[in-house]
Amino acid sequence: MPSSIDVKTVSKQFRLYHRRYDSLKERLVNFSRPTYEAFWALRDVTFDVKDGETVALIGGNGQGKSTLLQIAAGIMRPTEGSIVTRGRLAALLEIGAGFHPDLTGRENIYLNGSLLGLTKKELDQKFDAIVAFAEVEKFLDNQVKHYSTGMYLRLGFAVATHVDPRIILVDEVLAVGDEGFQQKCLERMRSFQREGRTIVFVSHNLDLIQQMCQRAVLLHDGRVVADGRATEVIPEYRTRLAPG
Amino acid sequence: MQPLPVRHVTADSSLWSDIREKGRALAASGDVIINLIRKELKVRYRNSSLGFVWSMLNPLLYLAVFYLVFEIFLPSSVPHYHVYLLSGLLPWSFFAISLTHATVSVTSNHDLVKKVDFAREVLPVSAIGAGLINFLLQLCVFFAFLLMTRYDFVTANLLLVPIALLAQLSLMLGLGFLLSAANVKARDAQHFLDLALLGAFWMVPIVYPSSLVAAELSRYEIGGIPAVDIYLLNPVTRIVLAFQRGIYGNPAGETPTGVLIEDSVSWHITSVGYALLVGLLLLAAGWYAFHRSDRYFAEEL
Repeated sequence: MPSSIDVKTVSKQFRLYHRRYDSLKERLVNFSRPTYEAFWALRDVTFDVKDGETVALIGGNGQGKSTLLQIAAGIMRPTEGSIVTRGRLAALLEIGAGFHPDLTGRENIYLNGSLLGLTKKELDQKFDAIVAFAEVEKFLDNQVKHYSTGMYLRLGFAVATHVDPRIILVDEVLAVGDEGFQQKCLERMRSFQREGRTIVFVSHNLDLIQQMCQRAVLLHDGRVVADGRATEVIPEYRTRLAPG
Repeated sequence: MQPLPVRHVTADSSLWSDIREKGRALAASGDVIINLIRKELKVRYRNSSLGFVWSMLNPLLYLAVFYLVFEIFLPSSVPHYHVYLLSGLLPWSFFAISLTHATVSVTSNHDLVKKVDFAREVLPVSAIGAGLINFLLQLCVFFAFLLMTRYDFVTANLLLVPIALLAQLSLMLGLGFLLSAANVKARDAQHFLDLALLGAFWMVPIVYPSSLVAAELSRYEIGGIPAVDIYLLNPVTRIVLAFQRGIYGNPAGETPTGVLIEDSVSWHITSVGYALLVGLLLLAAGWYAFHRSDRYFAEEL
C-alpha cells in the first residue's frame, strides 16, 4: 500500500526584501534590483504519512508548519523536492476562507463548496448534512455577516469537512472557537480517523495532540528534528521550549 | 474501485503536464465560475430593492439625455446620434469596467488565494463573466428601446454583433490574465490601466464619427504608413466599429458624407477578424504568463 502523503526532500526559500519595491517608479528611481535575503522556511524535509494515519506537525511559530501544509495542499510550490498526495485532499487552513459576508449561508455553502472542489450535485446531496452540522437551519437565508462567530466557524468547518476527503490537512483552526465548537470538531475528526482517513494536524495544543495522534513530527528552523510516537516527540518539543 | 487521484507538487514541471493539469482543473471549475459570477452580481445589488434594474437604467438614461441634447437642443451632423453613441459606448464600458475588475481580481482575493487551492484563472474569468451578463442585459434594454422607437434597422447588420463580441471577449480575457498576474507583482498594473483606459477612450471612435478621423488623417503618413492604418491598429477600435456597423448601421451612407469609416460589411468582417486574431494571440500569451506566475501568487500576496 503506497503512502498517502510522500514528502521528499522539500525545501522552500522565501525572499525577504530589505526594502520591497512595489512599484515600477521606485525600481526605476533606485535603478538597481532590490536586494533580498534568502530565508529557508523548510530545509530538506522528508517523511511520509501512511494511509489512515493521523500525524501531528508540531513546532514553535515560524518553524515551517503552515508553509509545509500550504505546499501539500498545492497552494505553493516547493523550491526543491516534491510532495505526492494520493486521494482527494481537503485543506482546512483557515475556517471560512472564501466566505463572502454579503452572501447568505445557503449561497456561501455553494460558493465555498465549489471552490473546495465539490460539484453542484455533490453539494445538493450534502447540503442537509452541512446545515445540520453547522446548526444554521433558521439562518440559511440570512447574510453571513449577521452570523455569530460560532455559527460562522461551524459553517466553515462543516463545508470544508464535507468534501469527503481521503486526506485532511488541518492548520490550527480548532483553537479559534469555544469549548463546544472544539468538541464538535474533534468528534468529527475522530470519526474521520475511524473511517480510515489520513489526517495531518497542526496544533499548539499538546494535550489534544496526545489524545488524537499516534505520531508527531517536530519541525525546528524548517527541518525535521524528531519524528516518531507522539508520546516521545512531545517531551522533546517541551524541552526545546524550556528556557536555557 | 476508482484509482485515487495522485498529485505531484514539485518545484517545476513540464509545460505539457502543467497544461494537462490546468485543463483538468479548469474543466472542473465550471461551477466555481458560475458561483463567482453569481456572487459578483448578487453582492453588487444586495440590499437594493431595484437590484438589476439599476444597471438597465444606465443605458436608458444615456439614451434619453443624448436624444434630448443631440436631436433637439443642438442637432448633430450624425443622424440618430444617441443610437450611434450607445452602440459604441456599451461595448466600451463593458471593456473598461470589466477589465478593471479582472485586473484586481487576484489581488483583492488574496485571502482566498493564500488559503484555498483552486484554479486561479477563475478569478479574472468570472470578473469578466459578470460584466458580460451585465452587458447583455444592457444590450437587451438598448434593443428594446430601438424597437419601441421604431429605429430603422435597414442599414444595420446584426450578424456582426456576435463576431465582435467574440473578438472582444478573447481580447479581454487575454488582457485580464496579463494584467491580473502583473498586478500581483506590482500594483502599478491597475493604475496603469486606469490611465490607459482614459486615453484609449478618445483613441476609439465612440463619441465622434470615425469618418472624421479618416478625413483628417488621410493627409498624414508616419514612416510611410498611412496614419489611418495606425489608428486602426488598435483592435478595440475594430471591435467598436463592428458593433457600430452591426447595430447603428450606416444610415448616412458611404463616406465622406457617412458616419463610419467604412460601409462595406465584408470590410468589417475582415476588420473584426483581425481583432479576433489579435485577441486569440493575446489570450494564449496572457494565459501562459498567468500560468507561469500563479505558482507564486500565494507567497507574493
